[in-house]
Amino acid sequence: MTPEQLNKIVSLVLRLGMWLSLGIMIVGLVWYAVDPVPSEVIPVEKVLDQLFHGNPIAMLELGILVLIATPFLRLLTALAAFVYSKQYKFVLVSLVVIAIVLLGIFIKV
Amino acid sequence: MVLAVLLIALAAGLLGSLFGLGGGIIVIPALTLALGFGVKEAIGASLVGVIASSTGAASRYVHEGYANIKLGMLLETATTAGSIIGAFIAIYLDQFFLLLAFSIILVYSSLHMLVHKERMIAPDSAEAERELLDLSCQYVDPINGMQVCYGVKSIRTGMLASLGAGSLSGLLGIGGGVIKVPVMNTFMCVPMKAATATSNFMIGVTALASAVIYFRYGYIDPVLGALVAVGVIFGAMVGTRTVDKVQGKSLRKLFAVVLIAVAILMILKAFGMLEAL
Repeated sequence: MTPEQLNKIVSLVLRLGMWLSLGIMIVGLVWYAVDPVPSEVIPVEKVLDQLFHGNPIAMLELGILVLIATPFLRLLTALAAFVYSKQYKFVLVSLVVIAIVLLGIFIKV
Repeated sequence: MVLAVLLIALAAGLLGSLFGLGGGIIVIPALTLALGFGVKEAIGASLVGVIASSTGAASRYVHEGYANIKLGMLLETATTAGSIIGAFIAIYLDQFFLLLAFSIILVYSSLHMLVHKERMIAPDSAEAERELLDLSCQYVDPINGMQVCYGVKSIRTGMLASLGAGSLSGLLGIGGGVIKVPVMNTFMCVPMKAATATSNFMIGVTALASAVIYFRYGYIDPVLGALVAVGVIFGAMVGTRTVDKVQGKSLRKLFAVVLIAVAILMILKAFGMLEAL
């Protein structure tokens, strides 16, 4: 895999995440402007359920979740690319970053 | 109010993407001081903004080849570890001295960048470190269409500084771009445009763990968070295109001025004149 191919794949994931979350958030904001409800945080596990109940806040949270998930997907994509191109030193680097991010989440939760 | 939040976010996305800073340095004081939001809400919204800024800017910088993915991911091991360490030291250490120490480092880096010229090394030069990991990279600078090939040196110093930059974000909730960019540029000989692009690429991952935790605890207001994110993404779209028209040299000078401004904010916070940063 050439450096250009690595750039293409990683930027594709970032772009998809950006446009998808941007789209969802804009729809959510317009929906919220038309149909305002109290801005109360919905727990993650109830987001989809609330979305089908017509709650615009759930739409906004979905967009934020997609956005937050994007850097993590970017890490997994780079990991896969390094495995595929047999650059094992960078496979190790990617695994260390992923492990520390997960550790950071679980230490504090 | 909606318009004010969008404008703040737009400015944060623009400056953040230009200089490789998350934009938290703008979002947090502006939301708390100018618009009267609580510190926790502001930090939550700022974390979403940092990820939006990183994703928006990096999607273009990676595509254009300005961001050095391998260098970024190597330094991410140190920034992510640093952010965990920082969260722990925050419990034991007095913030006053830390803030003062960091502001001195910022002023020093700023002066260094203003006085010294940028130095670049060729990937095959004796100074470039490539035995263990080859981090050399190349991109085309659109301002003159020239291909820029560079080697990277002082990887250990860079790792150590990234650990410090990560701790800073864990301690104070602001991204470590203000530390990472000067270190990459002055010690590691990474050209300014590549340094800011790589910093942009990294900050999303550094903010990730904190963002997940803030979300779980319900500290991210969905409406405020979405407004900030949307504004930041549009700001980053403008910022990443502005970079094409700016000389690396001018970007470096402007960055030095931004560092002084950040140092002033930190000193204000150290003396209790600014609650949130």
